[in-house]
Amino acid sequence: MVAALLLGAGLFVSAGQAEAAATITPEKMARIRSRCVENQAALNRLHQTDAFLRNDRGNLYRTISDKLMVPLNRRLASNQLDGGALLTITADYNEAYTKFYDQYIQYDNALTKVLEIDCTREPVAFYNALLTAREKRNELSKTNQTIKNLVRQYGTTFTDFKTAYDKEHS
Amino acid sequence: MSDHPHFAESRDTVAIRTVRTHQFFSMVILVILISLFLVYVALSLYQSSGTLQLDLSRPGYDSARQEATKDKEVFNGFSGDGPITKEALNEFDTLYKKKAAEALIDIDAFSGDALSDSALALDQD
Repeated sequence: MVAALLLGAGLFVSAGQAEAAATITPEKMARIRSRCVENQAALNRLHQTDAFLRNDRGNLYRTISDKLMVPLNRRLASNQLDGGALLTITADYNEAYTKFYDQYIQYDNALTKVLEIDCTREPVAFYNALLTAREKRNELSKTNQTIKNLVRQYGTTFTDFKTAYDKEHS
Repeated sequence: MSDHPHFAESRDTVAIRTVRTHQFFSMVILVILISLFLVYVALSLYQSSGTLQLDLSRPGYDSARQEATKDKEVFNGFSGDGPITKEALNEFDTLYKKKAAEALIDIDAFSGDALSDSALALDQD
């Protein structure tokens, strides 16, 4: 039973690899080789830009949570006001940030692997590593969008809260 | 025969005697081994915690480092203590809108296009 499962898994993995490798035509391999130097330079630049972007966005996202969302939630709680909706968004936001943190590490490792491969000598390995890095980058991008949506959502929920408060205390 | 206390003692004595006769050398070796172990632990933590990926002081990150040091504005944030008043809510509103605008700026951060075949000119004939 276990052997059959392992065999099945093995076939599935090799089918996946074959599918990934099948997209690399001889023409594409030739292009990978001919554009190797330019692409390595471009990927190196992208690696640097991403490191800066990760630091910049990461600091900003942390500031929004630690210096704005959390203090407001605490203040609302200490004044016995209902900030349940804001609290839920903050929890989702922090969860999304943790995901963003982990996914960037995975993406950076994937891109580092691409940069380590000599695309002139190993175009297939280079392209497969590139596909993995692309997938990791897409996941990271989605989580980044989730964080931005939660920032928007918190702003809207706060505006609703403020409007209700102003109406009640006018 | 070999378990005789006298023989065990004489073996220990040889090992201890060697260390005793080369005390300074033994200490140097021990210190080097301890420091190598501590460096290994530190580098493992540096890599596994994700600090490596965020470290802009690495060689080759000069431009990223310069960009990062440009913005040194201190942001104090919103105080978590005090009453909830209209003024406090207005203050939060101003601070939040400012930071949200920075976060929602139209940067297509980490878009997959940067690694696409067309961006790397791998799809041209």
